[in-house]
Amino acid sequence: MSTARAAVAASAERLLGWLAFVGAVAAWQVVATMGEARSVASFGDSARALVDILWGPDLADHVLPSLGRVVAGFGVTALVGIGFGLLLGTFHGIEPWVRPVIEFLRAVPPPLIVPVAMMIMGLSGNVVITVIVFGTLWPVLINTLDGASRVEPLYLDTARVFRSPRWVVLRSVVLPASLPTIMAGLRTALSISLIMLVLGEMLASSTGIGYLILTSQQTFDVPATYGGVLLLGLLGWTFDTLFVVIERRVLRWNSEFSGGSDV
Amino acid sequence: MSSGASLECRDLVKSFPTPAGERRVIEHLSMRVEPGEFAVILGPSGCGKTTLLRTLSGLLPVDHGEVRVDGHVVRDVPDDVAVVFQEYNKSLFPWLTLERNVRFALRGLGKAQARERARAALRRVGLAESAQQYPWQVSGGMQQRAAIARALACHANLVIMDEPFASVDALTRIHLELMLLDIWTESRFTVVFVTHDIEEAVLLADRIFVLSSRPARVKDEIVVGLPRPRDPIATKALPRFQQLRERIFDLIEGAAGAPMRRDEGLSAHHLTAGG
Repeated sequence: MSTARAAVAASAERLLGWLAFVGAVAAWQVVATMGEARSVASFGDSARALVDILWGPDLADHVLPSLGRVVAGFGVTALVGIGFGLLLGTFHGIEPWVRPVIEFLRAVPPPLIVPVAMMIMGLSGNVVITVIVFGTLWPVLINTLDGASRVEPLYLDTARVFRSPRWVVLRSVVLPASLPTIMAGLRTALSISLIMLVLGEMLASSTGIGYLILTSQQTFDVPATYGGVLLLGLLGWTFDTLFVVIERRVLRWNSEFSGGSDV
Repeated sequence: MSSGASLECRDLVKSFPTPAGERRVIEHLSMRVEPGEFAVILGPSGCGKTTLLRTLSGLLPVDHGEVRVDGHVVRDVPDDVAVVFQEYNKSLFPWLTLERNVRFALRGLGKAQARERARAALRRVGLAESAQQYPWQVSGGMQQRAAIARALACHANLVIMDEPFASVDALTRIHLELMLLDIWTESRFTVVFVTHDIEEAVLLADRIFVLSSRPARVKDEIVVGLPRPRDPIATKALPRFQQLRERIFDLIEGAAGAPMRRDEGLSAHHLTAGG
Protein backbone atom coordinates (compact mmCIF):
# COMPACT_ATOMS: atom_id res chain seq x y z
CA MET A 1 0.00 0.00 0.00
CA SER A 2 2.47 2.59 1.19
CA THR A 3 5.03 1.64 -1.44
CA ALA A 4 2.37 1.97 -4.14
CA ARG A 5 1.46 5.38 -2.77
CA ALA A 6 5.13 6.37 -2.70
CA ALA A 7 5.47 5.27 -6.33
CA VAL A 8 2.47 7.38 -7.32
CA ALA A 9 3.92 10.36 -5.44
CA ALA A 10 7.28 9.87 -7.17
CA SER A 11 5.78 9.76 -10.66
CA ALA A 12 3.65 12.80 -9.82
CA GLU A 13 6.80 14.64 -8.83
CA ARG A 14 8.48 13.59 -12.03
CA LEU A 15 5.50 14.79 -14.04
CA LEU A 16 5.66 18.16 -12.28
CA GLY A 17 9.34 18.36 -13.10
CA TRP A 18 8.67 17.86 -16.81
CA LEU A 19 5.79 20.34 -16.71
CA ALA A 20 8.14 22.94 -15.25
CA PHE A 21 10.63 22.12 -18.02
CA VAL A 22 7.97 22.66 -20.66
CA GLY A 23 7.01 25.88 -18.90
CA ALA A 24 10.61 27.11 -19.06
CA VAL A 25 10.75 26.38 -22.78
CA ALA A 26 7.46 28.24 -23.27
CA ALA A 27 8.81 31.24 -21.34
CA TRP A 28 11.91 31.19 -23.53
CA GLN A 29 9.66 31.16 -26.60
CA VAL A 30 7.66 34.12 -25.26
CA VAL A 31 10.81 36.18 -24.61
CA ALA A 32 12.15 35.35 -28.09
CA THR A 33 8.93 36.34 -29.89
CA MET A 34 8.56 39.55 -27.87
CA GLY A 35 11.07 41.18 -30.16
CA GLU A 36 14.37 40.13 -28.68
CA ALA A 37 15.15 38.01 -31.75
CA ARG A 38 18.50 39.78 -32.22
CA SER A 39 19.80 38.42 -28.92
CA VAL A 40 17.50 35.49 -28.16
CA ALA A 41 16.75 32.81 -30.74
CA SER A 42 13.44 31.01 -30.45
CA PHE A 43 13.43 27.47 -29.08
CA GLY A 44 12.47 26.13 -32.51
CA ASP A 45 15.33 27.94 -34.26
CA SER A 46 17.79 26.85 -31.59
CA ALA A 47 16.68 23.24 -31.85
CA ARG A 48 17.01 23.40 -35.63
CA ALA A 49 20.51 24.83 -35.26
CA LEU A 50 21.32 21.99 -32.87
CA VAL A 51 20.17 19.44 -35.46
CA ASP A 52 22.29 21.23 -38.10
CA ILE A 53 25.34 20.97 -35.86
CA LEU A 54 24.79 17.26 -35.28
CA TRP A 55 23.99 16.46 -38.92
CA GLY A 56 26.51 18.71 -40.64
CA PRO A 57 30.29 18.95 -40.87
CA ASP A 58 30.34 20.45 -37.37
CA LEU A 59 29.85 16.98 -35.92
CA ALA A 60 33.26 15.82 -37.09
CA ASP A 61 34.94 19.22 -36.84
CA HIS A 62 33.75 20.29 -33.41
CA VAL A 63 31.48 17.88 -31.53
CA LEU A 64 33.55 14.73 -31.76
CA PRO A 65 36.83 16.48 -30.82
CA SER A 66 35.09 17.88 -27.74
CA LEU A 67 33.80 14.45 -26.76
CA GLY A 68 37.27 13.02 -27.25
CA ARG A 69 38.79 15.69 -25.00
CA VAL A 70 36.28 15.06 -22.22
CA VAL A 71 36.84 11.32 -22.39
CA ALA A 72 40.62 11.73 -22.45
CA GLY A 73 40.71 14.36 -19.69
CA PHE A 74 38.29 12.51 -17.47
CA GLY A 75 40.12 9.24 -18.10
CA VAL A 76 43.50 10.71 -17.13
CA THR A 77 41.93 12.25 -14.02
CA ALA A 78 40.33 8.95 -12.99
CA LEU A 79 43.58 6.99 -13.46
CA VAL A 80 45.91 9.51 -11.84
CA GLY A 81 43.49 10.66 -9.14
CA ILE A 82 42.47 7.17 -8.00
CA GLY A 83 46.00 5.77 -8.33
CA PHE A 84 47.71 8.52 -6.35
CA GLY A 85 44.82 8.80 -3.92
CA LEU A 86 45.07 5.11 -3.05
CA LEU A 87 48.83 5.30 -2.61
CA LEU A 88 48.69 8.42 -0.44
CA GLY A 89 45.80 7.05 1.58
CA THR A 90 47.49 3.71 2.26
CA PHE A 91 51.08 4.73 2.83
CA HIS A 92 50.52 7.30 5.52
CA GLY A 93 54.18 8.28 5.52
CA ILE A 94 53.93 10.10 2.17
CA GLU A 95 50.82 12.15 2.79
CA PRO A 96 52.27 14.87 5.07
CA TRP A 97 54.95 15.58 2.44
CA VAL A 98 52.63 16.11 -0.48
CA ARG A 99 49.60 17.51 1.29
CA PRO A 100 50.74 21.19 1.16
CA VAL A 101 51.44 20.90 -2.57
CA ILE A 102 48.02 19.36 -3.20
CA GLU A 103 46.29 21.97 -1.06
CA PHE A 104 48.08 24.79 -2.92
CA LEU A 105 47.33 23.43 -6.40
CA ARG A 106 43.74 22.81 -5.41
CA ALA A 107 43.40 26.39 -4.18
CA VAL A 108 44.54 27.77 -7.57
CA PRO A 109 41.39 28.67 -9.55
CA PRO A 110 41.43 26.11 -12.38
CA PRO A 111 40.90 28.65 -15.24
CA LEU A 112 44.37 30.05 -14.45
CA ILE A 113 45.88 26.89 -15.90
CA VAL A 114 44.79 28.05 -19.39
CA PRO A 115 47.47 30.74 -19.92
CA VAL A 116 50.11 28.55 -18.31
CA ALA A 117 49.25 25.55 -20.48
CA MET A 118 49.16 27.78 -23.59
CA MET A 119 52.64 29.09 -22.86
CA ILE A 120 53.93 25.56 -22.54
CA MET A 121 51.96 23.78 -25.28
CA GLY A 122 50.75 26.44 -27.69
CA LEU A 123 47.32 25.99 -29.26
CA SER A 124 47.14 22.22 -29.56
CA GLY A 125 44.19 20.09 -28.44
CA ASN A 126 46.32 18.87 -25.57
CA VAL A 127 45.92 22.24 -23.88
CA VAL A 128 42.21 21.60 -23.48
CA ILE A 129 42.81 18.12 -22.11
CA THR A 130 45.39 19.51 -19.68
CA VAL A 131 42.91 22.17 -18.58
CA ILE A 132 40.25 19.51 -17.98
CA VAL A 133 42.65 17.32 -15.99
CA PHE A 134 43.80 20.26 -13.86
CA GLY A 135 40.25 21.24 -13.06
CA THR A 136 38.98 17.76 -12.28
CA LEU A 137 41.91 16.02 -10.61
CA TRP A 138 41.52 17.43 -7.10
CA PRO A 139 38.05 16.22 -6.15
CA VAL A 140 38.99 12.72 -7.31
CA LEU A 141 42.38 12.73 -5.61
CA ILE A 142 41.12 14.15 -2.32
CA ASN A 143 38.05 11.89 -2.20
CA THR A 144 40.11 8.80 -2.95
CA LEU A 145 42.70 9.77 -0.35
CA ASP A 146 40.05 10.35 2.28
CA GLY A 147 38.24 7.13 1.45
CA ALA A 148 41.44 5.09 1.47
CA SER A 149 42.69 6.50 4.76
CA ARG A 150 39.36 5.86 6.48
CA VAL A 151 38.87 2.22 5.61
CA GLU A 152 37.16 0.30 8.41
CA PRO A 153 40.06 -1.10 10.52
CA LEU A 154 38.37 -4.49 10.84
CA TYR A 155 38.50 -4.90 7.04
CA LEU A 156 42.27 -4.47 7.25
CA ASP A 157 42.51 -6.84 10.24
CA THR A 158 40.54 -9.42 8.30
CA ALA A 159 42.91 -9.06 5.37
CA ARG A 160 45.82 -9.59 7.75
CA VAL A 161 44.23 -12.63 9.35
CA PHE A 162 44.07 -14.24 5.92
CA ARG A 163 47.58 -13.06 5.11
CA SER A 164 46.76 -11.04 2.00
CA PRO A 165 49.80 -9.49 0.34
CA ARG A 166 49.92 -5.70 0.25
CA TRP A 167 48.84 -5.24 -3.36
CA VAL A 168 45.88 -7.56 -2.81
CA VAL A 169 44.85 -5.45 0.19
CA LEU A 170 45.09 -2.33 -1.98
CA ARG A 171 43.14 -3.78 -4.90
CA SER A 172 40.63 -6.00 -3.12
CA VAL A 173 40.04 -4.21 0.17
CA VAL A 174 41.08 -0.54 0.13
CA LEU A 175 39.81 0.19 -3.40
CA PRO A 176 36.33 -1.32 -3.02
CA ALA A 177 35.98 0.04 0.52
CA SER A 178 36.63 3.59 -0.70
CA LEU A 179 34.61 3.22 -3.89
CA PRO A 180 31.53 5.11 -2.62
CA THR A 181 33.63 8.23 -1.87
CA ILE A 182 35.63 7.78 -5.09
CA MET A 183 32.45 7.68 -7.16
CA ALA A 184 31.20 10.87 -5.47
CA GLY A 185 34.47 12.58 -6.43
CA LEU A 186 34.26 11.29 -10.00
CA ARG A 187 30.74 12.63 -10.39
CA THR A 188 31.83 16.10 -9.29
CA ALA A 189 34.78 15.83 -11.66
CA LEU A 190 32.51 14.93 -14.55
CA SER A 191 30.48 18.11 -14.26
CA ILE A 192 33.63 20.21 -13.82
CA SER A 193 35.10 18.58 -16.92
CA LEU A 194 32.42 20.15 -19.14
CA ILE A 195 33.08 23.59 -17.63
CA MET A 196 36.80 23.23 -18.24
CA LEU A 197 36.19 21.90 -21.75
CA VAL A 198 34.22 24.96 -22.83
CA LEU A 199 36.63 27.33 -21.15
CA GLY A 200 39.65 25.71 -22.76
CA GLU A 201 38.05 25.61 -26.19
CA MET A 202 36.96 29.26 -26.01
CA LEU A 203 40.42 30.47 -25.07
CA ALA A 204 42.90 28.04 -26.51
CA SER A 205 41.44 26.08 -29.39
CA SER A 206 40.18 26.43 -32.96
CA THR A 207 37.94 23.39 -32.73
CA GLY A 208 35.30 22.10 -30.34
CA ILE A 209 31.85 23.05 -29.12
CA GLY A 210 33.21 25.92 -26.99
CA TYR A 211 34.99 27.39 -30.04
CA LEU A 212 31.85 26.86 -32.14
CA ILE A 213 29.65 28.75 -29.67
CA LEU A 214 32.12 31.61 -29.41
CA THR A 215 32.50 32.05 -33.19
CA SER A 216 28.72 31.78 -33.70
CA GLN A 217 28.27 34.59 -31.23
CA GLN A 218 31.00 36.68 -32.89
CA THR A 219 29.41 36.22 -36.35
CA PHE A 220 25.93 37.05 -34.98
CA ASP A 221 24.63 33.56 -35.76
CA VAL A 222 22.20 33.73 -32.86
CA PRO A 223 20.40 30.37 -33.41
CA ALA A 224 23.72 28.47 -33.70
CA THR A 225 24.92 30.07 -30.46
CA TYR A 226 21.85 28.83 -28.63
CA GLY A 227 22.02 25.50 -30.45
CA GLY A 228 25.52 25.04 -29.02
CA VAL A 229 24.27 25.89 -25.56
CA LEU A 230 21.47 23.34 -25.92
CA LEU A 231 23.98 20.76 -27.09
CA LEU A 232 26.19 21.30 -24.03
CA GLY A 233 23.23 21.07 -21.69
CA LEU A 234 22.19 17.86 -23.37
CA LEU A 235 25.72 16.46 -23.13
CA GLY A 236 25.98 17.31 -19.44
CA TRP A 237 22.66 15.64 -18.74
CA THR A 238 23.60 12.55 -20.75
CA PHE A 239 26.98 12.20 -19.04
CA ASP A 240 25.43 12.50 -15.60
CA THR A 241 22.66 10.01 -16.38
CA LEU A 242 25.19 7.52 -17.75
CA PHE A 243 27.35 8.05 -14.70
CA VAL A 244 24.49 7.34 -12.30
CA VAL A 245 23.70 4.12 -14.19
CA ILE A 246 27.33 3.01 -13.95
CA GLU A 247 27.56 4.06 -10.31
CA ARG A 248 24.53 1.97 -9.40
CA ARG A 249 26.06 -1.00 -11.11
CA VAL A 250 29.49 -0.59 -9.54
CA LEU A 251 28.04 0.00 -6.06
CA ARG A 252 25.21 -2.49 -6.26
CA TRP A 253 26.63 -4.23 -3.16
CA ASN A 254 26.02 -1.05 -1.22
CA SER A 255 22.49 -1.12 0.19
CA GLU A 256 22.22 2.64 -0.24
CA PHE A 257 22.44 2.22 -3.98
CA SER A 258 20.41 -0.96 -4.25
CA GLY A 259 17.29 0.32 -2.54
CA GLY A 260 16.00 1.62 -5.86
CA SER A 261 15.61 5.13 -4.53
CA ASP A 262 16.46 8.05 -6.74
CA VAL A 263 19.82 9.58 -5.98
CA MET B 1 40.89 -32.34 8.47
CA SER B 2 43.16 -30.39 10.77
CA SER B 3 45.45 -31.46 13.55
CA GLY B 4 44.89 -28.78 16.17
CA ALA B 5 47.68 -26.46 17.19
CA SER B 6 48.86 -25.71 20.69
CA LEU B 7 48.84 -22.15 21.95
CA GLU B 8 51.06 -20.92 24.69
CA CYS B 9 51.78 -17.49 26.02
CA ARG B 10 54.23 -16.62 28.72
CA ASP B 11 54.50 -13.53 30.87
CA LEU B 12 52.53 -11.34 28.47
CA VAL B 13 52.53 -7.61 29.15
CA LYS B 14 50.72 -4.97 27.11
CA SER B 15 50.13 -1.29 27.83
CA PHE B 16 48.54 1.51 25.88
CA PRO B 17 49.56 5.14 26.09
CA THR B 18 46.79 7.43 27.35
CA PRO B 19 46.81 11.16 28.13
CA ALA B 20 47.09 10.18 31.81
CA GLY B 21 50.14 8.01 31.14
CA GLU B 22 50.66 4.36 30.34
CA ARG B 23 47.69 2.17 31.00
CA ARG B 24 48.45 -1.48 31.54
CA VAL B 25 45.88 -3.77 29.94
CA ILE B 26 47.58 -7.15 30.30
CA GLU B 27 49.82 -7.94 33.24
CA HIS B 28 52.18 -10.94 33.27
CA LEU B 29 49.63 -13.26 31.76
CA SER B 30 50.53 -16.87 31.05
CA MET B 31 48.39 -19.68 29.70
CA ARG B 32 48.60 -22.86 27.68
CA VAL B 33 45.99 -24.43 25.42
CA GLU B 34 46.52 -28.06 24.36
CA PRO B 35 46.15 -29.19 20.72
CA GLY B 36 42.52 -29.84 19.83
CA GLU B 37 41.22 -28.28 23.00
CA PHE B 38 38.23 -25.97 23.28
CA ALA B 39 39.50 -23.19 25.52
CA VAL B 40 37.43 -20.27 26.71
CA ILE B 41 38.81 -16.98 27.96
CA LEU B 42 36.25 -15.51 30.33
CA GLY B 43 36.35 -12.14 31.96
CA PRO B 44 34.27 -9.14 32.91
CA SER B 45 33.56 -6.59 30.21
CA GLY B 46 36.38 -4.15 29.67
CA CYS B 47 39.00 -6.38 31.27
CA GLY B 48 41.14 -6.48 28.15
CA LYS B 49 39.86 -9.68 26.54
CA THR B 50 39.89 -8.24 23.04
CA THR B 51 43.41 -6.88 23.50
CA LEU B 52 44.54 -10.27 24.73
CA LEU B 53 42.94 -11.95 21.74
CA ARG B 54 44.62 -9.54 19.35
CA THR B 55 48.02 -10.27 20.88
CA LEU B 56 47.37 -14.03 20.82
CA SER B 57 46.47 -13.92 17.13
CA GLY B 58 49.49 -11.81 16.22
CA LEU B 59 47.48 -8.74 15.21
CA LEU B 60 48.99 -6.71 18.03
CA PRO B 61 52.63 -6.81 19.18
CA VAL B 62 53.30 -7.45 22.87
CA ASP B 63 55.45 -5.24 25.10
CA HIS B 64 56.95 -8.17 26.93
CA GLY B 65 56.68 -11.95 26.91
CA GLU B 66 55.85 -14.15 23.96
CA VAL B 67 53.08 -16.06 22.24
CA ARG B 68 53.80 -19.42 20.65
CA VAL B 69 51.61 -21.41 18.29
CA ASP B 70 52.81 -25.00 17.97
CA GLY B 71 56.07 -23.86 19.52
CA HIS B 72 56.74 -21.09 17.00
CA VAL B 73 56.91 -17.53 18.28
CA VAL B 74 54.05 -15.43 16.85
CA ARG B 75 55.03 -12.16 15.17
CA ASP B 76 52.27 -11.70 12.59
CA VAL B 77 49.13 -13.80 12.17
CA PRO B 78 50.45 -17.34 11.64
CA ASP B 79 49.47 -19.33 8.55
CA ASP B 80 47.35 -21.88 10.36
CA VAL B 81 45.40 -19.43 12.53
CA ALA B 82 41.98 -17.99 11.66
CA VAL B 83 40.13 -15.33 13.61
CA VAL B 84 36.37 -14.79 13.90
CA PHE B 85 35.51 -11.29 15.09
CA GLN B 86 32.51 -10.20 17.10
CA GLU B 87 31.44 -7.57 14.57
CA TYR B 88 30.49 -9.81 11.68
CA ASN B 89 29.01 -6.82 9.88
CA LYS B 90 32.48 -5.31 9.63
CA SER B 91 34.59 -8.41 9.16
CA LEU B 92 32.70 -9.60 6.08
CA PHE B 93 33.38 -7.43 3.04
CA PRO B 94 30.06 -5.88 1.99
CA TRP B 95 31.09 -5.72 -1.69
CA LEU B 96 31.58 -9.49 -1.92
CA THR B 97 28.93 -12.21 -1.94
CA LEU B 98 29.11 -14.71 0.92
CA GLU B 99 30.90 -17.21 -1.32
CA ARG B 100 33.41 -14.59 -2.44
CA ASN B 101 33.96 -13.62 1.18
CA VAL B 102 34.86 -17.21 2.01
CA ARG B 103 37.06 -17.44 -1.06
CA PHE B 104 38.97 -14.40 0.15
CA ALA B 105 40.60 -16.76 2.66
CA LEU B 106 41.56 -19.19 -0.13
CA ARG B 107 43.71 -16.98 -2.29
CA GLY B 108 46.49 -19.46 -2.88
CA LEU B 109 44.16 -22.07 -4.37
CA GLY B 110 43.06 -22.47 -7.99
CA LYS B 111 39.69 -21.02 -8.87
CA ALA B 112 37.80 -24.30 -9.16
CA GLN B 113 39.28 -25.69 -5.99
CA ALA B 114 38.65 -22.48 -4.05
CA ARG B 115 35.03 -22.42 -5.18
CA GLU B 116 34.60 -26.07 -4.24
CA ARG B 117 36.00 -25.51 -0.77
CA ALA B 118 34.07 -22.31 -0.18
CA ARG B 119 30.82 -24.01 -1.13
CA ALA B 120 31.58 -26.97 1.13
CA ALA B 121 32.26 -24.62 4.06
CA LEU B 122 29.06 -22.67 3.42
CA ARG B 123 27.12 -25.93 3.17
CA ARG B 124 28.58 -26.99 6.51
CA VAL B 125 27.16 -23.90 8.22
CA GLY B 126 23.84 -24.23 6.43
CA LEU B 127 24.32 -21.37 3.97
CA ALA B 128 24.41 -23.30 0.68
CA GLU B 129 21.32 -21.42 -0.53
CA SER B 130 22.68 -17.99 0.31
CA ALA B 131 26.14 -18.31 -1.26
CA GLN B 132 25.44 -15.70 -3.93
CA GLN B 133 23.87 -13.13 -1.60
CA TYR B 134 25.55 -10.05 -0.23
CA PRO B 135 26.04 -9.74 3.56
CA TRP B 136 23.40 -7.00 3.91
CA GLN B 137 20.84 -9.27 2.32
CA VAL B 138 21.03 -11.88 5.09
CA SER B 139 20.48 -11.80 8.87
CA GLY B 140 23.16 -11.14 11.48
CA GLY B 141 23.25 -14.79 12.50
CA MET B 142 23.79 -15.81 8.88
CA GLN B 143 26.56 -13.26 8.51
CA GLN B 144 28.35 -14.71 11.51
CA ARG B 145 27.90 -18.22 10.11
CA ALA B 146 29.53 -17.02 6.89
CA ALA B 147 32.44 -15.63 8.93
CA ILE B 148 32.78 -19.02 10.63
CA ALA B 149 32.65 -20.73 7.23
CA ARG B 150 35.51 -18.50 6.11
CA ALA B 151 37.58 -19.61 9.11
CA LEU B 152 36.71 -23.26 8.41
CA ALA B 153 37.47 -23.08 4.71
CA CYS B 154 41.14 -22.32 5.20
CA HIS B 155 41.52 -25.41 7.40
CA ALA B 156 43.07 -23.52 10.27
CA ASN B 157 44.57 -25.50 13.13
CA LEU B 158 43.70 -22.79 15.60
CA VAL B 159 40.53 -20.72 15.44
CA ILE B 160 40.40 -17.69 17.69
CA MET B 161 36.93 -16.26 18.29
CA ASP B 162 36.21 -12.90 19.88
CA GLU B 163 32.74 -12.99 21.47
CA PRO B 164 31.39 -14.28 18.17
CA PHE B 165 27.81 -14.73 19.37
CA ALA B 166 27.50 -11.63 21.54
CA SER B 167 25.55 -9.63 18.95
CA VAL B 168 22.96 -12.19 17.85
CA ASP B 169 19.63 -12.94 19.47
CA ALA B 170 19.35 -15.65 22.16
CA LEU B 171 17.78 -18.34 19.98
CA THR B 172 20.20 -17.87 17.10
CA ARG B 173 22.97 -17.97 19.65
CA ILE B 174 21.98 -21.43 20.90
CA HIS B 175 21.92 -22.71 17.32
CA LEU B 176 25.31 -21.23 16.58
CA GLU B 177 26.82 -22.68 19.76
CA LEU B 178 25.58 -26.14 18.88
CA MET B 179 26.77 -25.81 15.31
CA LEU B 180 30.20 -24.73 16.46
CA LEU B 181 30.44 -27.68 18.86
CA ASP B 182 29.44 -30.09 16.05
CA ILE B 183 31.99 -28.68 13.65
CA TRP B 184 34.71 -28.69 16.28
CA THR B 185 33.93 -32.32 17.18
CA GLU B 186 34.27 -33.31 13.52
CA SER B 187 37.49 -31.49 12.74
CA ARG B 188 39.23 -31.06 16.10
CA PHE B 189 41.05 -27.85 15.48
CA THR B 190 41.97 -25.91 18.61
CA VAL B 191 39.52 -23.20 19.64
CA VAL B 192 40.25 -20.16 21.76
CA PHE B 193 36.89 -18.59 22.42
CA VAL B 194 36.53 -15.27 24.21
CA THR B 195 33.30 -14.48 26.03
CA HIS B 196 31.92 -12.60 29.01
CA ASP B 197 29.04 -15.05 29.40
CA ILE B 198 29.56 -17.65 32.15
CA GLU B 199 26.94 -20.12 30.90
CA GLU B 200 28.28 -20.00 27.39
CA ALA B 201 31.78 -20.63 28.73
CA VAL B 202 30.78 -23.68 30.79
CA LEU B 203 28.62 -25.09 28.02
CA LEU B 204 31.37 -24.95 25.39
CA ALA B 205 34.73 -25.29 27.09
CA ASP B 206 37.17 -28.00 28.02
CA ARG B 207 39.15 -25.43 29.91
CA ILE B 208 38.23 -21.95 31.10
CA PHE B 209 40.71 -19.20 31.84
CA VAL B 210 39.02 -16.74 34.18
CA LEU B 211 40.56 -13.30 33.87
CA SER B 212 40.81 -10.62 36.50
CA SER B 213 39.54 -7.16 35.71
CA ARG B 214 42.00 -4.72 34.19
CA PRO B 215 44.87 -5.26 34.00
CA ALA B 216 44.05 -8.77 32.84
CA ARG B 217 45.71 -11.69 34.56
CA VAL B 218 44.66 -15.32 34.69
CA LYS B 219 42.80 -15.50 37.94
CA ASP B 220 41.95 -19.14 37.75
CA GLU B 221 42.07 -22.00 35.30
CA ILE B 222 39.12 -24.36 35.42
CA VAL B 223 38.89 -27.77 33.78
CA VAL B 224 35.22 -28.22 32.96
CA GLY B 225 35.07 -31.99 32.57
CA LEU B 226 31.38 -32.13 31.63
CA PRO B 227 30.49 -35.05 29.32
CA ARG B 228 30.21 -34.48 25.58
CA PRO B 229 28.25 -34.13 23.41
CA ARG B 230 26.89 -31.14 25.28
CA ASP B 231 23.39 -29.90 24.98
CA PRO B 232 21.99 -26.52 26.03
CA ILE B 233 19.16 -28.13 28.01
CA ALA B 234 20.56 -31.40 29.38
CA THR B 235 24.07 -30.11 30.11
CA LYS B 236 22.81 -27.03 31.87
CA ALA B 237 20.64 -29.24 34.11
CA LEU B 238 23.63 -31.19 35.45
CA PRO B 239 24.60 -30.44 39.07
CA ARG B 240 28.21 -29.97 38.03
CA PHE B 241 27.16 -27.28 35.54
CA GLN B 242 25.47 -25.39 38.37
CA GLN B 243 28.50 -25.78 40.63
CA LEU B 244 30.89 -24.52 37.99
CA ARG B 245 28.64 -21.61 37.19
CA GLU B 246 28.47 -20.53 40.81
CA ARG B 247 32.18 -20.97 41.36
CA ILE B 248 33.03 -18.84 38.34
CA PHE B 249 30.39 -16.34 39.30
CA ASP B 250 32.08 -15.87 42.67
CA LEU B 251 35.48 -15.58 41.02
CA ILE B 252 34.30 -12.89 38.63
CA GLU B 253 32.38 -11.08 41.32
CA GLY B 254 35.62 -10.77 43.21
CA ALA B 255 37.43 -9.65 40.08
CA ALA B 256 34.93 -6.93 39.26
CA GLY B 257 36.09 -4.97 42.28
CA ALA B 258 32.98 -3.68 44.04
CA PRO B 259 31.38 -6.89 45.33
CA MET B 260 27.81 -7.33 44.20
CA ARG B 261 25.09 -8.67 46.45
CA ARG B 262 23.88 -11.98 45.14
CA ASP B 263 20.19 -11.53 45.56
CA GLU B 264 17.69 -14.12 44.46
CA GLY B 265 17.16 -14.17 40.71
CA LEU B 266 20.44 -12.50 39.81
CA SER B 267 21.64 -14.79 37.08
CA ALA B 268 24.96 -15.03 35.38
CA HIS B 269 23.44 -13.21 32.43
CA HIS B 270 22.48 -10.27 34.60
CA LEU B 271 25.95 -9.98 35.95
CA THR B 272 27.60 -10.03 32.57
CA ALA B 273 25.13 -7.70 30.94
CA GLY B 274 25.77 -5.05 33.54
CA GLY B 275 29.51 -5.55 33.96
